Amino acid sequence: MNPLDDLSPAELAALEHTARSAKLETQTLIAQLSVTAGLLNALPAAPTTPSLIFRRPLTNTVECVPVGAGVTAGRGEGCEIRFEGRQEVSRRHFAVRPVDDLFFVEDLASSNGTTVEGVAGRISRRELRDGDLIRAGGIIFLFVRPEPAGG
Amino acid sequence: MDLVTQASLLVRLSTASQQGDWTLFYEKYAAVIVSFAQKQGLDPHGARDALQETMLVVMRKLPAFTYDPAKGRFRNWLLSIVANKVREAQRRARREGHVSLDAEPESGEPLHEQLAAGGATADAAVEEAWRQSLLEEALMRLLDDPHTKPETIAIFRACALEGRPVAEVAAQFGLKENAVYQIKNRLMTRLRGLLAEVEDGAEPPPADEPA
Repeated sequence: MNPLDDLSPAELAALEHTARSAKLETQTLIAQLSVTAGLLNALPAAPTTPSLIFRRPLTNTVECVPVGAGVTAGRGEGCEIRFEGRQEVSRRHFAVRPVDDLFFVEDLASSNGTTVEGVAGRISRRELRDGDLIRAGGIIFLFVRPEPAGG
Repeated sequence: MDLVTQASLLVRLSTASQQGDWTLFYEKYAAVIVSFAQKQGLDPHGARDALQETMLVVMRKLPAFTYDPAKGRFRNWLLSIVANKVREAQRRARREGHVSLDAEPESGEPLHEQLAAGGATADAAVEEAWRQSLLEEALMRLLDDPHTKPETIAIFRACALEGRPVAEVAAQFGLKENAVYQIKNRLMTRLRGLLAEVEDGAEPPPADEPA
């Protein structure tokens, strides 16, 4: 039986009202998904663990760095993701760390700040969602959190 | 754009996707996913999170998905992903306060296990909400189709959504009652086709109009 057969005019009208009431801002997320698809498509294989994916300035190569127990991005030594010589990036710019089953990005008192797409203003510390785009020092970092195999 | 079949789009997304393909896919399902998420109690922010996370999972898993329209698997496959992401968003929404990077859980349990299980929606209710969201999308495509004459849409709206008598609608538009019946039936048939397209990949119905 077709699901439309037993819908009354009032029910159809209600469907339209509900559909038009569900506000959806599309352009930002479409742009974000375009960036995401571009970064994922540039990898030889999709990451299987929580990772940061970014395009390295100058070389334009896409890199994928597992978050593991935590990663720090910055200009200085000791950063797992290092941008030596890039002045827009602070010596220690931001960190991504796991806390229990969650992941957080924390700005490390950087000069130019760290932002997350869709969130107004600079962040100090924020829980990350799969697909979040972090911006720091003019570089976009895609955070991905693949589901565990079989989960 | 509507000339692209669901099957072709899914095949392209699975093999050699272009960024424009993901935009097509997003435009096809974003409203359905958001509507479903809001039916499950998420606010617009939470619904957006669920949408984003769903799209990421689809991007990763679609290459391994075997499209078979005879089995109607895509609808259920997508629903399973969306329902899971909505449940995760529901758990996040119930969480209170911020979590310090150095904070220890108050109990010995990991944080996510401290969250209330908060009843996962029964399968039937989830299925119904998903069905409603798909219907909404199909109806919006019909009503907003730029290839359909505005008068045709108005006639259909008067009959099918406002429930006005055919004789009354025919008089308003200066048509014979049989013509009004034909318009209503033709658009209902198209609506069924659009619903099938959104669900599981039928060919989109033709957008032609009689002379």
